[in-house]
Amino acid sequence: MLTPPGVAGSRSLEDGAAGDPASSGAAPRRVIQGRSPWLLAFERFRRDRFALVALGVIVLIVCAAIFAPLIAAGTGHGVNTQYSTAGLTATGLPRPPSAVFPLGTDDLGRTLLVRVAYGARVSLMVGVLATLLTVTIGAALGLVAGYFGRAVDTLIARAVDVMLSIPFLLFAIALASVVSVTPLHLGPLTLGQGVPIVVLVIGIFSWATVARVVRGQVIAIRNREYIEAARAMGASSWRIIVVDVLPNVLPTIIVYATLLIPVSIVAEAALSYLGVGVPPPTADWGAMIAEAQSYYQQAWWFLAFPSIALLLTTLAFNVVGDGVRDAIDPRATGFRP
Amino acid sequence: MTAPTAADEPTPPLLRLEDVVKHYPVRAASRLGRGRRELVHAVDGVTLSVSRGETVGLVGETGCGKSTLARLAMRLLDVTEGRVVFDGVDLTRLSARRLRPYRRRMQMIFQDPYGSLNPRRRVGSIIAEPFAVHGVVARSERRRAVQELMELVGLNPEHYNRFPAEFSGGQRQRIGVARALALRPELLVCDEPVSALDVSIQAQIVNLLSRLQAEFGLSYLFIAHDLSVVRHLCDRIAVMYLGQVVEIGPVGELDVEPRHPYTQALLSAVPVVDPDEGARHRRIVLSGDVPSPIDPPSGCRFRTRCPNARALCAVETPRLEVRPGSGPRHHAACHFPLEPAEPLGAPRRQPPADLREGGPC
Repeated sequence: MLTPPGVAGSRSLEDGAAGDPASSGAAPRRVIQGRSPWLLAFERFRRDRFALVALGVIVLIVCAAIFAPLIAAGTGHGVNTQYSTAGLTATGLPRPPSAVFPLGTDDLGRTLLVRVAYGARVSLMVGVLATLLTVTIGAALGLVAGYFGRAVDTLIARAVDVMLSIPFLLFAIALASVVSVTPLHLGPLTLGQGVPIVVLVIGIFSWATVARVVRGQVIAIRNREYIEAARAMGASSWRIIVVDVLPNVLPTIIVYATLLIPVSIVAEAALSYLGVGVPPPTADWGAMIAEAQSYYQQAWWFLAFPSIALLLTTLAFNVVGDGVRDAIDPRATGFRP
Repeated sequence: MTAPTAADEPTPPLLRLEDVVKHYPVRAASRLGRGRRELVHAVDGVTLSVSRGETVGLVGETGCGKSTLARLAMRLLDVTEGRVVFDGVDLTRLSARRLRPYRRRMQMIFQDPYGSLNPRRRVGSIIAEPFAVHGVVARSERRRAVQELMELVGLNPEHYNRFPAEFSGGQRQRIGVARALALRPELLVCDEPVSALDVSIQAQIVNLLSRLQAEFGLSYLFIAHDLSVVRHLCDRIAVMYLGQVVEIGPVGELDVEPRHPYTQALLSAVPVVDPDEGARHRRIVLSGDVPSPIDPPSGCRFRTRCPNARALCAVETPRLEVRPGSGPRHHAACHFPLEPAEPLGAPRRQPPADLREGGPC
């Protein structure tokens, strides 16, 4: 068979001609490995230097979060241990960075380095969990609305409109305040102030945009002939959604998710900054920035390091997100959540 | 009526469309103005049958309702009125579950070799999808079955793991054919399977389809807007105009002695290879555009563009029936059919020399 000229995979005829006798079963044949869209995307991503550097930063931050106890052990200071004499000046102000306190101390004489490291845990956890929740709700509703259309679509589209018209911060503050006073009982789960409620609030408020984007894509895909082909062979709607539609919207979902992580991290920091996020004494960047506000003229490090950590994290996720988008859809023209 | 008489055909047709109608509602004016509800008459009362082993060609301009008719036959769309009868069973009212066994027996080949294959699935998985949907071939056997199918349609079975983007248009169309054949259907509905392909590759696909027909005793409903392809492959040809069949008849009759002026115009558009004949060739160019299917003309729908239209044509819709001078299976819907002997610049029917089975593209 001749290789068609100009076809993307024509190279793989030579590249991938490695024999695969083990899996070919009864009829031993060479197997030519096709180059999947994912593989091609990965190869494009690998050439994106900015994204690779940002990915390195993310890896460092993740390591800091995972090994926060080791960092604490290295300094010999606990997260919540207050060094009221060694950690505070005579006038009760935070101590500047030194050999004992590498990034200085906070207003209660706690070691800033350890607290910044532990703060990464909250940020990353909320960022990832809230994004997962957002994307799951948004993608599921978007798929159903886009594929089935009609009344289901109208219902979900209106729900999206309603969600997008509610001011996020106002509602989030109200909900979080209410919950912090009277915890919410959901079956065996009790939701008080803390990470779960923050995740829930962010998820509830972010799915609408994802649903809208996914719905639009599904509507475009629904009329493709390969969907008709699947229907003609008798595949059920659910099978078509999972097997044929989802893989085609997955790239969009993944790009959206990577770009939603920094948004969620900032949202969590904002809630904690306003005092309705993660309750003290949990180390949290947003809460630390809020506390540092009163001290920044005397203790710049108290404000600087949590802020830098937050900035670096969101920046790195954004750059990686852009890189993923460019890799997955090279023709995309910079859409953002 | 188009139904062949009992003497013609002892067995009932495999597929029979009875007075099939498909109307789409559209809103005419703006949303605010609470627009009038109007109907697009995509298919308006088509009766057509396909017997076992027969190939029926369906030709007509873009937008005449051919593809809609194909989708109605496959029940990818629901009819507004009429019945779709497959092997004696009315499919139009069957639930999705009851329909599934019939899905196995009729399959479709699509026009767009790029749009009809999921770009994110490997070819092996695309061709094996019918097995998975119907749970027929054991998982361990599927790969071998897929490779047999690939060989059958002239693809390299080693390309099992490739993605659609790694194939040319002709190869992709072969993938579509392999997928359609996987369940060993009795009827294949081909919706312009070659119009998106290069001419040289068209011939290969047409020959592949005709070889498969001989091998598996397939019946085809073959849609095209190009009469020359249809003449090569089909037993009978139906000509559609604005949602209706205006003429239907066997190859050798309809295309040699068309009775409907529209068919004549279509035939005159077929290019003539022989220069001597080309000099005698009379090209009929129809004036005007196809009228809107939202508000089709009264009486005969073709009258607005017909050179022979008279007063009667606006009043009475001509029936699709045998016209004096035609064979018993040749029906035309025209009040003033062309004379069979009327000289026509149409080419003779000849097997085109360039339609020869080539290697896989």
